[in-house]
Amino acid sequence: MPAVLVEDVSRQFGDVVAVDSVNLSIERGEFVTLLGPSGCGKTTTLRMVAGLEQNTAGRISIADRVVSDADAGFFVPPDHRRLGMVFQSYAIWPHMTVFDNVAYPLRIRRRSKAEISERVRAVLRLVEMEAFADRPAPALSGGQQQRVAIARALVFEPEVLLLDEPLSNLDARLRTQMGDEFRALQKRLGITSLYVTHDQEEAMALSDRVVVMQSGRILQVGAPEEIYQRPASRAVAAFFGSPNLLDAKVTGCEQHTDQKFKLGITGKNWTGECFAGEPFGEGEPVLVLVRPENVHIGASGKAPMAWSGRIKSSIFRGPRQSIVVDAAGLALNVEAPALLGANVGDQVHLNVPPAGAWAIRPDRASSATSR
Amino acid sequence: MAVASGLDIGRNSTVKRIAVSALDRKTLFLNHLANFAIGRRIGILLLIALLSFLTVYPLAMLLYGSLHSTPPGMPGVLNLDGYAQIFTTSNFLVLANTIGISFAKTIPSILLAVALAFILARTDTPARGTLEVLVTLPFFIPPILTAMAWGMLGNPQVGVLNLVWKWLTGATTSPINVYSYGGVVWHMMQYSTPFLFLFIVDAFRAMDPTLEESSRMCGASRWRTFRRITLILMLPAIVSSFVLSLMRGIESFESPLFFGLPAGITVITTEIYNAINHRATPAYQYATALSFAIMAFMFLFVVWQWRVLHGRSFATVTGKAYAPNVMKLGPWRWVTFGFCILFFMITVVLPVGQLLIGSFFKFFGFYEWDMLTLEHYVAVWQNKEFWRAFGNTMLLGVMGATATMTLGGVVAYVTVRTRWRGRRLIDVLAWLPWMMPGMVLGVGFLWAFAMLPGPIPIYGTIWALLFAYMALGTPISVRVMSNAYHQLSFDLEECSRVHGGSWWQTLWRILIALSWPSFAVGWVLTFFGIMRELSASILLYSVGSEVLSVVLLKLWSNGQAEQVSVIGLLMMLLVIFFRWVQLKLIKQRISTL
Repeated sequence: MPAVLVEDVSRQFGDVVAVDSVNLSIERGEFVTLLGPSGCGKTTTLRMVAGLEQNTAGRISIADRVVSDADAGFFVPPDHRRLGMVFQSYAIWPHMTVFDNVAYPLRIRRRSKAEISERVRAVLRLVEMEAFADRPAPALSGGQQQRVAIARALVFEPEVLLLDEPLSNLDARLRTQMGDEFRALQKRLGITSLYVTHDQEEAMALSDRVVVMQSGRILQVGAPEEIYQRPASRAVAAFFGSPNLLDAKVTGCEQHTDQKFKLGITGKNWTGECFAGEPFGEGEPVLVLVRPENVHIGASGKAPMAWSGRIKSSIFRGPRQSIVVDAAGLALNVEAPALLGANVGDQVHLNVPPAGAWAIRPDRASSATSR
Repeated sequence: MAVASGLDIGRNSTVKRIAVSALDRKTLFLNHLANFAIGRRIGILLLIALLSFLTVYPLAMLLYGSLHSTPPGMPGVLNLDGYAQIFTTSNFLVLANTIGISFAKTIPSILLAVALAFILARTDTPARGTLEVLVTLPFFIPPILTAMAWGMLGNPQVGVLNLVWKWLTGATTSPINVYSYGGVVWHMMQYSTPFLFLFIVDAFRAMDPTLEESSRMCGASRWRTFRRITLILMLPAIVSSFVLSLMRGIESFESPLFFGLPAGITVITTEIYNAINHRATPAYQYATALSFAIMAFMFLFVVWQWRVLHGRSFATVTGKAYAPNVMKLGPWRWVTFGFCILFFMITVVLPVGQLLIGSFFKFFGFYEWDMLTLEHYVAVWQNKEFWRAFGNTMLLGVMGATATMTLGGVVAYVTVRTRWRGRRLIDVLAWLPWMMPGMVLGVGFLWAFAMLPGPIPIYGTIWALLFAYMALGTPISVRVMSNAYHQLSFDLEECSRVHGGSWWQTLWRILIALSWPSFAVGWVLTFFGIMRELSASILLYSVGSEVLSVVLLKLWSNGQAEQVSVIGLLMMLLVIFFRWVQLKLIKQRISTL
């Protein structure tokens, strides 16, 4: 029984298709993140679930109840969907105190004074804002407003919690801290959450599953590790960091596990081994994804994939350094420990273990997969 | 797997669940229907009907009246005589007077306003906050008050200024005569300068100081920066204020009535007034044709203003507040301080002082110790007509301001916050009175009320004035409220909807709760507008529904300048009180949002 079910949902603004036949199902207690660049339709999708935007095609159900069916002309306005939402701007009402802000959903539902007081106190304790209950809302810092917004969204135990880039207005340190705190709270309460962000690290750190979107379509849905290490397409692979994408040809293919195949590959002046999510025939072209942190610098090892080359540039980033190595016309991005102390012009050996390379079909740039 | 369709819900669940969800669906659907579809459509239609009654209807009646050969309510034929009558040589002079006077007052006013705005927004002149309140005060004083005060100050025979001049120099001739072109222009300038100041000063404040700083960093001198950057950036604000001021000058009634007519100088508004009120047989068709023609003329100005602004609204305020560069003036700051004080003395202290003096002496113009008296206060106290007018003005002010602001709030909500069909039409309808001078709207309503089907007796009652005031105030109230809504992010509203607030609850608890300071500020502004209104009132009042400005004018025409002074002082107290309340509200709003 999914908590949220989105079936073939589209949203058109005039001639522009903002969301194009999106299918998604969120289980109870699950934390799902919509991830993508700005304008990819992730916020529109969230707003359609909230009822702030009406879908032009498809059907949305929340907790087994259809809330919007474009074909049947059926639409439940947002106030009847029993949702909680945290906005990017927090949307803390400036004319109310912290208590009044959090009590709003309960007051609207005409709960008793005693119940309101008790539940607001409880939820404020949960987000560690109990001491601020009587503060006027404008007198809060960004992080505190965030906590109030979360408390308000949780206070009447909504079916689903919707979050629209809630951390993007915080500074980097606070962002990580608030993100971790929120994830802990979400796990503890087991509340179903749909989260929107454009920050890949945030998405990976918080989510049970990540939905990668582009141009209104879903590219891939999967656990963070799957999305990162085993992307289904070039677009998903390129979305995280600055990966190396190498053209190669398959020389051999054998089944490794149920869903995994081991390939022998050969490229321009190099050969190696890697894994793939589907079988390939001999001689088929593939695109090999190698994450920069999976390229090791050292003595010419026995790894099947190896190059040697000269360091073209190096940027110090504190814990590590980003290096570009020119290996016989092939420019490779490498993330190396900062302690290595590599200098521009140094001759180095590079190798990649088979587990650090993943092959995808070159032409699968825009096809979508889902669970 | 998952429930695929809402209709299937029951099949996969218990019987109890079917009942619940079916009921749920039904109520939801009805709710939805009631809230959004029918309710909204009826609301929109009602709004359009009300706005049409306030604007399109008098406009249409104006056109009808200009073609109708007899006064309103009498049988007649349709012809073009009215339009034939307006094309005369003397009317050409009237038109030239109107435009000439409007230009003559706009140019010096705008120079003064820019100077004052620069001084108060961009220099370190002491006590700028207080000075700003003082300098803008004349805008809130009803022009009829200052007109009467200046009539006493600048009277060629017994005006205080002339008396003082003669006493100082021993001269026998009076240097000042307010009953002249100069007098009309001089009086117009006094309320048009603070009006322009209010428009321009925000533009000076809203300017990003880094734009000037980068010019200085490129090596431009301060003067060059002022000319090439500051002034150019201010130009749209200044030009649009210029056009607006010209339009207001053409609509102006009090100044030409008090200072122009006695000297034989007629402008369009006073010509319309004369044709209806001061002829043996009121020439309704002529006056109406003239009104319609002047409105067409105003429309040209509006088009010009649009072109100047390239379709943007004339507001230059971006909403973002910068801390502007403040120019250090050194000892010169006392000169600028003195300049502002002088402006305040001339525009406020002098006329109010005259009213004060006038109210305590037996006869205006004869200022001897033994002429001191309180009898005028007693006379006003016992004047039944005054009390009735006072009551009417207060009642109309409170009702009119509340109704106008509510209407403005709703119109602004529909046009700014929704994507409902019909909102464009509503926007245009609410804006129409912008190009109708009070005098023209008065004539329009005169016809409109007379042409209403029998059993609706509006003409001659206080409601006639209420509708006219609402029509006149609506463009401003819409502007005030749309500015207020623009400052509130949509998130605040949407957040309430998602957390269970219905449309009405959200409107009430969030939007109105957050914008009520603006509502109150606009309310006071509209109240001022009603208190000062003369040109439409003079046409639409009848015995029993007089307002203060009408009573003042009557008393003045009867030569009772002393009682006029007493009433004027009372109105002045009201102005100061409401302005104080308004400033309080503005301050509070800035500190909470």
